[in-house]
Amino acid sequence: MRRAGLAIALLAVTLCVRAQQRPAFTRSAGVVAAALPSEVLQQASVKKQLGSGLTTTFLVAARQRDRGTITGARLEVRYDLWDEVWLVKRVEFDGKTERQRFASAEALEKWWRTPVRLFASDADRVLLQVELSVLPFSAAEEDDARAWITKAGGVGTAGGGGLVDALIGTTISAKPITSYRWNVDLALR
Amino acid sequence: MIRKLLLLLLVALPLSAEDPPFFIERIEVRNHHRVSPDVVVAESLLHEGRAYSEPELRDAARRLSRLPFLLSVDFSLEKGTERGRYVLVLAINETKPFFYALDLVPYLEDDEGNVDVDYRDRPASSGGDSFGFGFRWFVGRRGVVHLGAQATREDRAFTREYAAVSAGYTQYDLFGTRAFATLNLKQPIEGLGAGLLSPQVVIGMPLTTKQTLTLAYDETRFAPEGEDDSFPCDCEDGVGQRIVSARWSYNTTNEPFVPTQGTVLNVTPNYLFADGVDNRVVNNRIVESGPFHARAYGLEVGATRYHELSERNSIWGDLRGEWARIDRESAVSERSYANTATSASVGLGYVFSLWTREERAGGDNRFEVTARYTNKSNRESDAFHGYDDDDAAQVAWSWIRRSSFGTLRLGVGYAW
Repeated sequence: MRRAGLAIALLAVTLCVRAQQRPAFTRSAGVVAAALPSEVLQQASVKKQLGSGLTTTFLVAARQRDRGTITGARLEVRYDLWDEVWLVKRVEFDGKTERQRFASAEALEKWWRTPVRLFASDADRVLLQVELSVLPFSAAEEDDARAWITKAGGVGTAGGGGLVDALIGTTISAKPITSYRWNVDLALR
Repeated sequence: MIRKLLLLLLVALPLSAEDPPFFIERIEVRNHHRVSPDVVVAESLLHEGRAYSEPELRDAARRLSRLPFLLSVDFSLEKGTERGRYVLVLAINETKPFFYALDLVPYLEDDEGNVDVDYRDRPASSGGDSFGFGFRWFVGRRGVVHLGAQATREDRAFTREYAAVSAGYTQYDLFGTRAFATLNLKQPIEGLGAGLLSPQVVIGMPLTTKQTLTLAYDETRFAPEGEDDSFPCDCEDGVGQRIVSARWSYNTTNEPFVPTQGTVLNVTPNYLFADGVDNRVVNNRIVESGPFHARAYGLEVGATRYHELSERNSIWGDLRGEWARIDRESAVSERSYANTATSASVGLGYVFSLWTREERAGGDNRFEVTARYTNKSNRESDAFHGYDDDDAAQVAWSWIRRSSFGTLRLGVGYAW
């Protein structure tokens, strides 16, 4: 009985932790953005990769289940061992690119929590599936781009530009360190 | 087309340009117990004292992840002796010295009401279908000794199937060129009776991190078969085969045995000499016996694409083609011929992983469903092994388990 109670408690804790690990969504000027959970950066395998001195790529793919469209964004983080700064890059769904450098892990976490713009929508309700893949190394590779371009002709996603498809296309040849998937019923009124 | 080129420039060039090269002053292999660090560095194709971009390091990581004696490898950088210089750390997860690769998926064949069992399921262009087990020891800085048993089940029109015990040595980083050479001595134990000690030499030359040229000389001597005292034959050449091949391969897969991502392309021209004994049988009695000599040359091509749909689901598809010209001269009447054999095959597979990505760092645990259609023509090489000239369709279900010891595939298939 005690064991069963402990198991239920552990399950509750697990569910609680998992519940915290959900992105928070906002809409501004018709653009839906997601603030990614900070727990992702704390996961052991992700922390290990972030400390490798090589780039860690975070790929966010948002699939609107009712419309079948896929959009996304890409975040890249690299710790420069000699300058001791975090070099970050964010490419959002419309191709808007931002690069920054941070001197502390706190600043990195603050940047991480800044909502990343995923797609434009005027709908009151969106059924969304969001997948976050954590990839080792930079996603910049000509082969990946070429693979995407081959693919892009037939994708035809509404609301997603060509560059956004490239963000998703890069998953083709990368082996993720870990990944997350969330199913969200977004009420955007 | 112009739009695609513009997009290529937009996507590839700006991103590539921002990747700084890392000057690697030293490469350090960690967590090695049995595997030689020098072999790992050699197989990465990286050199100390050179600068590498992240895509180049990623290619090296993928190349190492395909090595059969590594389960996984993690890349990281540490500060070097001067600003701008780095130490590249390769943290490896080794396999055990005892290894096995057992592919046990028998196919049930409905042959006019009789259900036969056959293990042949893959064309030769897939790299042959064999299984084996043995021990592997690293000796010195760049050497590996192996001892084991193997079964060769290459589904070629002009080669024999057999099992053998073998011992061999592989030298990596040959003359500092990153090439490797393997000398393998085989003793056939099954197929055509006990054989003689036979040499096999394989030389692999990496052209890039994704491309390899493999030259192979494979000789197998079998014991003469089917001799009859009443019809002694002049069989001085004995029974055997000698295959010379050159395989070009392009490989971007993430694992050596059960990949879920990447592409494999193979093109293999080959040349065969074979000697043996022909028997003409009438009413279950050999009425004529004599030697035959055969020469064959051929080309095998194959392309496989693995695609990961999600963390647990992946699919693959392949296309294979084989062509061979066989010239056969026999002392037995009506057994000489010259013909051309061709084979084309298409395969599809769906793979479900029972393990999460985190669990897969230590191996693999999957279910696989495959389907294959093969069209063969003119495979009247009954002197080698009797193949039907029919089209063949196959489906199979299997369980695949990869651990630090090796890869096991168990399942069952049906062919018709």
